[in-house]
Amino acid sequence: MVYVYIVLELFYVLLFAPLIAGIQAKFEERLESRQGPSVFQPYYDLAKLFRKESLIPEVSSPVFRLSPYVVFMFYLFLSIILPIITAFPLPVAPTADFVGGGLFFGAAAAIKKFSAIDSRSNYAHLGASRASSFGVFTEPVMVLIFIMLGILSNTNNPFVINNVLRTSPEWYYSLLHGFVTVAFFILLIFETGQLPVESHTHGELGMIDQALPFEYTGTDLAIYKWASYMKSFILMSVFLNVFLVPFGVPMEHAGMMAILIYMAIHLVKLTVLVLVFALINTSISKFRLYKNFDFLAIAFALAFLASLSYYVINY
Amino acid sequence: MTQAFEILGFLLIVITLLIQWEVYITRTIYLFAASSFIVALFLILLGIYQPGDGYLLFILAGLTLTVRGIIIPAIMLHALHSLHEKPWRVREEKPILGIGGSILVSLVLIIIGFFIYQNSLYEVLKIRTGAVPFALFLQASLLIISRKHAYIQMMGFLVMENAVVMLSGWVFSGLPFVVEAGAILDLLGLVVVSSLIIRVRENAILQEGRGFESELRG
Repeated sequence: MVYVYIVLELFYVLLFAPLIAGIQAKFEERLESRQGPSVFQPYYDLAKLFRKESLIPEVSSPVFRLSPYVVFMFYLFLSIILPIITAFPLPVAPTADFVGGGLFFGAAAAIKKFSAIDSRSNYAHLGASRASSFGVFTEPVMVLIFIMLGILSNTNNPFVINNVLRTSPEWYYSLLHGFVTVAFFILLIFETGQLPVESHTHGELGMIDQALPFEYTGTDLAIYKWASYMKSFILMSVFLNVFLVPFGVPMEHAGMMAILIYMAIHLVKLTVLVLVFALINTSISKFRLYKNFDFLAIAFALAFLASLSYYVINY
Repeated sequence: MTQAFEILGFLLIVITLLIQWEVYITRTIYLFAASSFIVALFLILLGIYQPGDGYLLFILAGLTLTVRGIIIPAIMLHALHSLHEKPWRVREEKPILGIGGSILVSLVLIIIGFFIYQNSLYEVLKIRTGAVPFALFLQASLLIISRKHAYIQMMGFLVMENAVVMLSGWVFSGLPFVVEAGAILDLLGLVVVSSLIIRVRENAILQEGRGFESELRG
């Protein structure tokens, strides 16, 4: 039965990741009193791109051609080792703990940067250098967050962290958990490319992650985009299921029906989260590029205060 | 109950970090008002927790709320409005220390505050988060040192005073009421005087600029 869950989870992430992106785009347009595209627009975009021809820069190496597929595979793998629709580890989950998952995310980001450098486009190079220089600041915060969660649950297993938080209110309402959640939310804004870090426009003054796939076209771009949707979906799911609302994620004894129901509930949770993102995106303006470091400094400060609060008051 | 104190204490530290982050003066004033509200809430909780001298603490909380939470921010906003055409755009142009850097230095100061407290007063007082006012005090001094805008420097003094109010109300709760109320009220006068000084200073700068302008025109 557990193998059925793996397939279920895989297809859940694969199929609904573009939908969540579509819902967010729709929310943003509606908040600005415009009609907006259909929520299925990302699917139409993907279908269109899959029908188009892929162009490859003459000077590039196979790294350029292969990396979207490798990254796509990484995110597919991450979708079955993290708690997305189940609160119990599936058979493949023990292959990587939270730090391992972080390493996979980091590896995918590194491959994206390699492909950008390999494309030999100036804009892609710009994006790669920006993404790396911000990555230097996001990674320590991420590591600090993982360490604090490790203190909280005595493990690095996201499923155990979920169980600890849902069963012990003293940890759920602790300062440590509060600080870590807010710090992770700031990183989530950063990683999913929301305002105030990145806007949807292709203005080269502010683009970071958007600059990376500049030379991709056709099927390659479709796979690249789909992988990006999945990345956002997985990160948001982790934020919801491990940090913010760990309640209600089905355990193994709950059975198939509970998991199916939870899949719908999880979509509602994600919709609320993207509504929050849409509100942020429509109400605040973008930071100047170098101001982003200050934004990350706040995330670091919060993660650090989490450790301080643990040191001083032990919770 | 102690947990509530601890949460409010850390919230105050976070708000001071946000003041450190902010460059626009109006938002800094609102953040200061928020921090005063938290100090007031703190004193109210303390009044409920220590029913012995409860009503005095409630009066202290009320004073904090009205004077530091409403009147002082209102005076400062008023002064800002009367000085500038677009008060919401008044900002710290070039901080001496970058924002990210000052946040990191602030973190170091928080740790120093905690260590100083842990190794000195903690032995006597046995209150775990008694270090919060000390940390706030150091953060506020950083705010004063690292900024050049007179308003933000004054905000640093006010945050420092918040720390003092908190310290006197909580850690040294036996202080006479007159002393505590004095700490809150003397600020009102200070703010009025400072806002007058700022006004005079800004006007002087403006006039100086005008003079130079005509000189430059020849």
